[in-house]
Amino acid sequence: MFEKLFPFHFVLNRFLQLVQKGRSLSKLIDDKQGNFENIFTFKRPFLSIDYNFDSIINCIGQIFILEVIDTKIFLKGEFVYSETQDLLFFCGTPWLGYENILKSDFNIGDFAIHSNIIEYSNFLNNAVSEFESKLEISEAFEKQRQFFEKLFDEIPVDMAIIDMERKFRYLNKTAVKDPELRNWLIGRTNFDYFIRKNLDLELGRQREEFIQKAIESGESIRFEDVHNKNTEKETVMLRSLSPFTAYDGQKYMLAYGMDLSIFKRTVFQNEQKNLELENLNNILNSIIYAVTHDFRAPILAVKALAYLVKSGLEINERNDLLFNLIKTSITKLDEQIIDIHNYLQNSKLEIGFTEVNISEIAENAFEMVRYSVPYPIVFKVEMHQKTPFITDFHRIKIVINNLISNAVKYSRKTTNAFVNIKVVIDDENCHFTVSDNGDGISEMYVDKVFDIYFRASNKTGGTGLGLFICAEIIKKLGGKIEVKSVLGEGSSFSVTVPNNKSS
Amino acid sequence: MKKFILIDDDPIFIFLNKKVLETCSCKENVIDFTSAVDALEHIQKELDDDEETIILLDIRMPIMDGFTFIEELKKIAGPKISKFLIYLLSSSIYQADIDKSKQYPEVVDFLNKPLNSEKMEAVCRELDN
Repeated sequence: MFEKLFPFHFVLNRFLQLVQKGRSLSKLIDDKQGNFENIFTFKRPFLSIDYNFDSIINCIGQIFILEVIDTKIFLKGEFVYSETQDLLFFCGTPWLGYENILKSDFNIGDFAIHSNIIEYSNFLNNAVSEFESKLEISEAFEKQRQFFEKLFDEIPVDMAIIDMERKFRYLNKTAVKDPELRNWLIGRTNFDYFIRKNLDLELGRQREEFIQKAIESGESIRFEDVHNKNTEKETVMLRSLSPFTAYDGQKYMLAYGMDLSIFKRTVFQNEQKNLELENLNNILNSIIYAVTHDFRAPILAVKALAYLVKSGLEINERNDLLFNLIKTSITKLDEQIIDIHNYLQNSKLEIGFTEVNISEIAENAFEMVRYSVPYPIVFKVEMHQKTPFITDFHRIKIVINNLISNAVKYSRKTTNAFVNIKVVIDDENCHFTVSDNGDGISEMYVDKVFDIYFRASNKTGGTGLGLFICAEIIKKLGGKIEVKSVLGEGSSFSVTVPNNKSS
Repeated sequence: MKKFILIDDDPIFIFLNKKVLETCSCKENVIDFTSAVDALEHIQKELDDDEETIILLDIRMPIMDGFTFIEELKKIAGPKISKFLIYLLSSSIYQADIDKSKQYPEVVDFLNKPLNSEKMEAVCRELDN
């Protein structure tokens, strides 16, 4: 019992010889001589005590701390005196210096169960705090790991780590959005992915080849990966494979892919914009040239005619003729201003869709010009319409006005001069053809009639803008305009524009 | 005998230029065309005629402009080009047109529209010398 309670106890006789010692203490001082003085030094009490039996008895009731010489192991306890046996019993247990005890080959059974609860709890506290600090470190590590994972997921670059067997070891969210698929891919190859996603296997094979090439060469490889080539959904990925050695000495491939589609699309759009601007610039230059010339001509004519009237060079009866010429010149100038206005309207104004009545526009257009020739022209509108026609009213009106006024202007004085417009409207398109039996256009010039300032005839004072504007408008509306003509027989202009019923 | 050929797509200017020529001392043989192609055809027919021909030529015309007309004329006239004296007559104030006209030795002068009696008299005096 005593042994169990105090495994570090010892018993002294009057000569301070250890007559008995606990089994745990025996481990500490086994080979030492059995005299107290040779084994222990007093640490407490210290000054008021001597190394003799009575001096110890005098101090009974005090807490003793003894150091086992040369070990830095301390025992804390009390001496109990047995009068009947004239022996001193030390009841104590190791105190502080635990680490030194632990270095010795003690095990848990060597200590008393009660063995100083405070030290034990200190020890426990230390252990707990050590554990907690380890926990804190691993939490910090976990946070850092999550941070990088999130970073890799958010980065707009496909990232993957591929091992030397071409199997994925890691993929970020940009590479594969679906987490289930991402997990599935770990340990599988890129080609497995192509099979599962039912992608172009030829492209998959090419990619495997690139990966294999990078693995074998040990050098970085770059290539462009094009999906849905030459379609609206075309995507271009710049892919790069770089070998690297991880902290564990293993070799891997770091693969990343950047989506160049937006970049390429922007370049393409800029090129388109540049072309548009260049085109616009050419048109503006033509217009500026025209303004310096074509606008001046009628003004100069009026000036000269006015001079003739004033100078009285002409006899009065012929002033009528001069005034008519003045009127013709001014009308020509006005036509050019209207044309340029129409051109600018088309390039600047937003398209506005409404329901339009083609036959009404055509009738009005004919009424405006039918008396500009001194002979009758038969005008006929043929409508095939089952559904409303939705388009930009102002633009389509300019086109119809131009085509009908041209048909009248370039008509021939015959007994059966005619201008026809045939209109077919369905859900998709409006198709109309304006035909006449007038002058027609020479085969040489028929391809040029839609060019700016091109004039195939000097029969009447055309501005060279009318058909150019028609073509520009039809282009803007997403349709097409074509001409068929035989010189001396007549012309027919065909227009197809989308019916914007759904817009 | 001097011969005048007027080429201008605008009939009003033909009318006006003829009026000016009527008042002029050197009004002789005047023919007019509203198409440079028709004018070329006429010139080709009468190429064997050796009389000096003065051409009052508009620049900006449909189908064939003034400069193309000069090129074509050189082709059909060959060495006989020397009998043609060309005056460009334009409402253009575009410097490039004026500069371009100077590249043609056949072009005697660049005249601004409208032609008037004073300008025409000056041309006639120049021709007489």
